[in-house]
Amino acid sequence: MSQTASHSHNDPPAAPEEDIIAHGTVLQTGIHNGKMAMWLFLGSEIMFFTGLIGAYIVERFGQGVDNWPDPAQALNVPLTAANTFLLICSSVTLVWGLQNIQLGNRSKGSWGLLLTTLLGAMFVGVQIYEYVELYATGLTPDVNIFGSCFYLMTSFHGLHVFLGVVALAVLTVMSFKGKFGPEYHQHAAVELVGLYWHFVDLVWIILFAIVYLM
Amino acid sequence: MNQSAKNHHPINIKNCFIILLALTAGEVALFEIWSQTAFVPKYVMVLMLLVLTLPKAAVVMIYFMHLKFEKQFVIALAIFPMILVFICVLPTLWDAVRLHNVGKSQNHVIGLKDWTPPNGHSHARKTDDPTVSH
Repeated sequence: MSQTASHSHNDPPAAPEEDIIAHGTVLQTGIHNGKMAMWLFLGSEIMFFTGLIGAYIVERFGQGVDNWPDPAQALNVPLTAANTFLLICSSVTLVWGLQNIQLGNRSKGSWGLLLTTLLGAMFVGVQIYEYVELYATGLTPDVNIFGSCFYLMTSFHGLHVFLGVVALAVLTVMSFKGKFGPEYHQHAAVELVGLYWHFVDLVWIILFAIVYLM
Repeated sequence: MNQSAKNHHPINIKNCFIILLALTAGEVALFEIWSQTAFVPKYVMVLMLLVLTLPKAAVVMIYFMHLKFEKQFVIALAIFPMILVFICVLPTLWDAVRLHNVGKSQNHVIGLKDWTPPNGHSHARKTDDPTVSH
């Protein structure tokens, strides 16, 4: 294997030259272009969601404990806990699917992607049901600052999940058509969408604790 | 070593799943028990929740997002925005303290109308001041 740049013994070995030439996927840093772009994007997403969470914390703390709705009364915590379970399962099935694709088990990989897509779609469905239920109780975005913060954060997260489901659905179709293989450039799209999906899961883990439980 | 072998880092999915599941169940159980009994002050419950939430987030980042196997540069890309935003959000907490104090001194709640959650009570603070609307 030819090396494109000198590496310390801790660095992973460089990608084969033919891979770089054919796909242009590795920077001088040794990180693939797609992965670098995705991490930069996720960095901006971290700032975006942390900004929203920061605003919520300011309002939450500013109003005091007595003046903020009790989540146990205002929100359907058991339903959302079940929804959290769905999202965690979807991350697990995605990791399982990607591992199988990397090992050359295309069929299992495709089923992993399909399961992930279905679980993500179920999450969105449950969230829509939750919104309908909350609207019926009178909790709308304009009723109070709690309502506006709640809908702002959860709907932006829901939008991210929806976009993730769309991307996963496309990948699932491609996978069943045999488009992905064990080489990195053959399944890079799955890994990158996977990074995005796990990030969305990560954000929900934090949102669930802050909005629903605290 | 070929590319697929280089990029494949087997992780124990089952263990990660069990950890995530157990911590989520622990969070919900803690919340439900606290809602019924309030056995510790609220801020203690919040700290206990953080103790359960942060390891969950760490498992997802380290194993599912492969940060454990990434170059330091990628790890820096993930960590730096968090530090930056934390620094940016921190000063706004003074505004929260101000809001809190304004609410106490003027005995009214900013932005909260008289909304009653199902099976709950109003969270708008009661006042004798007729000029203050909820």
